[in-house]
Amino acid sequence: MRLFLVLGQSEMLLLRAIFCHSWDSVIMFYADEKNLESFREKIVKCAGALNKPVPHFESSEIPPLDQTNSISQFADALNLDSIGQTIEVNKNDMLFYSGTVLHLRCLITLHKFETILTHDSDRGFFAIGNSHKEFDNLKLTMKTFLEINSASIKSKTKEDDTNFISLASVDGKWETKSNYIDKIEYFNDVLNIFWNMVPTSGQRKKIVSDCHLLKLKFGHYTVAHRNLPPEVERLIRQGYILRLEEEEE
Amino acid sequence: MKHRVLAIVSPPGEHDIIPQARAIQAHQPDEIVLLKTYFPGKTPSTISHRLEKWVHGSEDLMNTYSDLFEFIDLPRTPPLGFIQRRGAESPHIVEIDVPVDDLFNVLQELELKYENSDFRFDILPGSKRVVTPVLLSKSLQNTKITYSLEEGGFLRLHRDGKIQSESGPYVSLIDRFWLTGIPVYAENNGTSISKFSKMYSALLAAQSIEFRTSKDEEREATRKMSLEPRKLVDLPLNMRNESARRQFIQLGGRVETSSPETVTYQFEDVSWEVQTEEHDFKLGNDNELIAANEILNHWEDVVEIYQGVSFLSPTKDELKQQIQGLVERDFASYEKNPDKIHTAGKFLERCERLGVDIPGEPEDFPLEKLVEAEINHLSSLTRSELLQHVWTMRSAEVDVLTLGEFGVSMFDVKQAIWRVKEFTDAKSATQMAQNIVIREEEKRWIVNSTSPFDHPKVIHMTRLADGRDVIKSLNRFHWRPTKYNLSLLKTITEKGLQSKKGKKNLQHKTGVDAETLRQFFPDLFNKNPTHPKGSKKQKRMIQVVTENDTTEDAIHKIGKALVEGIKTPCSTWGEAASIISRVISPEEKSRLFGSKKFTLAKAKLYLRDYVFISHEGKEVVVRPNNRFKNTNTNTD
Repeated sequence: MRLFLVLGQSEMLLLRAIFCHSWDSVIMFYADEKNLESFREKIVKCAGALNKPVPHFESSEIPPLDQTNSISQFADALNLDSIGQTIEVNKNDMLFYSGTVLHLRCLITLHKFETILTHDSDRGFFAIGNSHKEFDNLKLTMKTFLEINSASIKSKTKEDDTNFISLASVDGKWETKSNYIDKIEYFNDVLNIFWNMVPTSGQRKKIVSDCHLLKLKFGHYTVAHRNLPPEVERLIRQGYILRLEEEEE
Repeated sequence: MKHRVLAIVSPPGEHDIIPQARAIQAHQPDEIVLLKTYFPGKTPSTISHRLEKWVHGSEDLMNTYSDLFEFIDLPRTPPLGFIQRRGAESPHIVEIDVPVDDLFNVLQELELKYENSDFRFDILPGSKRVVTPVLLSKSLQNTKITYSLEEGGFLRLHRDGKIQSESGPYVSLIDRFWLTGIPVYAENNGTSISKFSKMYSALLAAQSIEFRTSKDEEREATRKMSLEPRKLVDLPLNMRNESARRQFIQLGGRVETSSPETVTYQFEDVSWEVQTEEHDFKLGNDNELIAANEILNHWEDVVEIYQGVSFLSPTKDELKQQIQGLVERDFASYEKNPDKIHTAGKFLERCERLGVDIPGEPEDFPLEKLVEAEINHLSSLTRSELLQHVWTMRSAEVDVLTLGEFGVSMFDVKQAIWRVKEFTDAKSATQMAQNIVIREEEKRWIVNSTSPFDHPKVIHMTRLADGRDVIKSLNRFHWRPTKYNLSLLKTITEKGLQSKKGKKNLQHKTGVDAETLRQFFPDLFNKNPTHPKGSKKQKRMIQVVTENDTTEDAIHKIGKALVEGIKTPCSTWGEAASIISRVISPEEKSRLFGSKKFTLAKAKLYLRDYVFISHEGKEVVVRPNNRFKNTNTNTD
């Protein structure tokens, strides 16, 4: 039984799908080789953290769907006439429901997938279509989450005795820190950040850019911000992504 | 023709309704089946009130804002509303409550019910978990599975993997904003821009360098902000110079200066009056329309374009708050500098207009009375009279908005960007009105100056003619001069290279940075290899940041010290950090940059004008940015 996935933005969910069963092989549809390499490293780290074997891994390139390639162009490129039929899918294979709905429909019909692996928080991972198999709902801990993402959380004290919490990459490439974070917990497969009241507009803007950075690093649905005022939540949903890279002098 | 039925998953409430509107518009159905999915234990949601009104037409949608428009007759650009096929009646809407796990079964039932109709299910973006069972190719036999597109029409996703594109109308940008809860006013659309298209193209072709004048220097002397070094080597390209006006006349245009602050351009049978100055500030408004015209003419993916789009306050209360905020802000500017016309002018004009006296002591000023008088005054005006006040009643404005294959894109048009902070300022996060669905990745700056910043989101006005491909081009931010401008620059450059003094001031004479000049005239510089890098390295005193310095001053001192201090060809981050430590104390770092450490990220953010920082981790290298080095050499 092989698992096929589209490499999208929710990498943690992909990792959990990969490790919810001992697949014969994991085949990744990707558009960006750099992202593929980085995700491959995460699979290895995840296997280490869970003490499981690294699955056999293959990949297949698909056209991008981004600022350089519109939906119409994507559809033109991912068509029977333009894509080489190198993948043979058998009735035991499953396609995980990652990527966009358009990715899914195109890949299902192109490669004749008969089963989709899907997930919800109540049932965990389960198949629909040809099979109705249910799988383990792999639960990660804060420790494994941080290990896989090469991140760390530290409580620190500034020179003026104010306390703050830092969430940063281990290699120092990025960091978010704030004295308005009350606590960070990992439950329901999500990193939950609990915020204290944020008094000024300037501080709220800083929080928005931090939240975007975390979304960029961990994926859209892997971080939940608790207790933020509605206007900040709106900005997080729709605002911009400020790319920050911190490295101490 | 068969009865056309469109089924779509309906979102809860007023949020995320644009994809639904898009599908309804693209398919132009006779019947819309809204599938209101809900999770077990939850109640089915209500459908969007505004989406329903939009289906019934423009008036109905606008009437959802009646509270606002009964209070004030705001200038507005009406939505088109849903456009039905010719000869067909307004679609009938059917609502069905569907438990999420029953969607597939419900669709199978609908397939049977509508077996004699043209039954379509549009999968839309989002709702993936709910829609997934329907995506399997064996799932539905007689249903057309489709995906509607931003630019209009839809893709038909066949069961055998084939994809067929079908045409259909798109949902206008204007409708999108009205639907999401924001009434809008747009100054120009594609049709009005097209009418003046030849003139805008001629103006772009005629533009030349606006060299600095003694009036500019006088003007800058009155400003609080120190002069940006870039301002000397990144000059505006526009019509405010004799060369440009001559060029325009040669191209068949006419120019009339109707007042010191306005100019009128005429071309064939159209004329355009442009305000060039206001309160001692130069304006660059004309660039917006010229940029919009270039996009309209050359970006093939774009189906709709608007210039000067104001997002109006959507309710009476929000409008009042907006006006109150502006009056308070203008009062604060007046209080700070009551004698400066460009900071206090708006407030004084308002007081005069409303007949409110200004007492001797600012604390005695009846601000509440002024706010009330302003609101009463505005609500008494007619729609056309309110046009000049739109800026006080909007929560945001976008210079150019487009809709196309890549969705909604926005462009901020600037004559020039001299401060790197323009790209990184946190306030950008809140500039957008709430709920406006504009994606950050589709936000870009268009500039029109001689040597703009190399920033991934910057496009030079003269490169817009390359179409959307320009965003992938490494040259996207480079000025592409006309033959005339190139020849003008060449003459100045050749002359400058002939004398020592001329060489020293070459960048200021041309108004173009050294790197750009070298790109334009490699042969000239190959003959003069010592310029503009400078052959002798002079020893300089390091200027230390003091407690009187502003952040701008500190950046300049740090940047300058780095340019002069880092090794050739590059230094490590550790070496650069040690130079920084010599220039600025931890206390000053904390005061000016919010932390006692000047991090690599801060260096990347603030020192782009001075140094290039590349690679990551321990391999970081710092190189001088020759643009600054040469400017500095010539100015010091």
